[in-house]
Amino acid sequence: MIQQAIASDDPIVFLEPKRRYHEKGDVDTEATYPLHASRRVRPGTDVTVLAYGPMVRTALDAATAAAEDGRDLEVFDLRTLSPLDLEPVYESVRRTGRCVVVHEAPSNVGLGAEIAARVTEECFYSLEAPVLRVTGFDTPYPAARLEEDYLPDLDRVLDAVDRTFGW
Amino acid sequence: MAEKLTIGKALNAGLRRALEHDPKVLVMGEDVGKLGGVFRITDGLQKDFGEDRVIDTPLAESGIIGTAIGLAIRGYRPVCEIQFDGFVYPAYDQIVSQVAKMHFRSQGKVKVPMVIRIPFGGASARSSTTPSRPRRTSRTPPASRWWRAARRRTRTR
Repeated sequence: MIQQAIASDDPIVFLEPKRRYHEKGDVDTEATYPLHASRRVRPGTDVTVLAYGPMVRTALDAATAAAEDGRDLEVFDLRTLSPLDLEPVYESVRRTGRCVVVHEAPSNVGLGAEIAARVTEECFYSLEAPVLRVTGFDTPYPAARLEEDYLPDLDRVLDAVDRTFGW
Repeated sequence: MAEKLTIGKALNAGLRRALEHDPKVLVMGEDVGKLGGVFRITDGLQKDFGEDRVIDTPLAESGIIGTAIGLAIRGYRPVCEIQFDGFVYPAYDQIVSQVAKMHFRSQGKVKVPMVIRIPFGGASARSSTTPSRPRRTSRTPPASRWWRAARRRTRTR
């Protein structure tokens, strides 16, 4: 992805999730996946969960935990925030009828709000529940000791998933 | 071809390959050269590609981005590193007023092919304060998952 970003003629802000720097994974060294495209990282049938950067791992962990409760989460890595590639997401939400957006940034005027608006516009008649957001709080970023309480975790994602079944 | 790498190592390999393939690619930022970056993403690049292509800049984010804009307009492909996301704000004017608008403002005549790398998101304090937070750091991901899953059940029941 970094090579594609450098090769692109457009200026690109490339955000690297610093707490995931040391996580290992399979790296496709030929980088054939399109630069501006979201990716389905886990197929599922019950709820569509959207995340990017460090929250993708959190969403996947939530999906693993939810599977034990018999809920099958579909997880998307958005990968590119501008432009947003939401077509595969719309297709997914039309199937699942439920959508949860996860990001670390505060919810107020955050990316989750924009995504919720677009998903609602495109999938209104398929939605079984409002699009819910799991985000940081609308406060200044806290000191290190409170960080884990500020950042969305598996717990908060699963709570939101539960809430989508409450409508 | 797929390889098993950490994200940091993968970025290093990607930058290295970009530097090899295109002589117009430059890497610039605070401590990216001799030190190899505070997160070691640019480790070893200055040693192999020289100080003209992997450039240690002064501690002035606005200057880093401003310089890179000029280089990009003149045909280079600068890859800037902002050391932490919290440091990007001095460069924000350059990014919003120049980087984002140059192509549009010049009616497509000017291209700005630059990349601004920003380590972002939570848990920044983890590495610098690890000694003072043994409980947090010793919590392995699988264990925390079980602990949290259990806590959730008691809460929602």
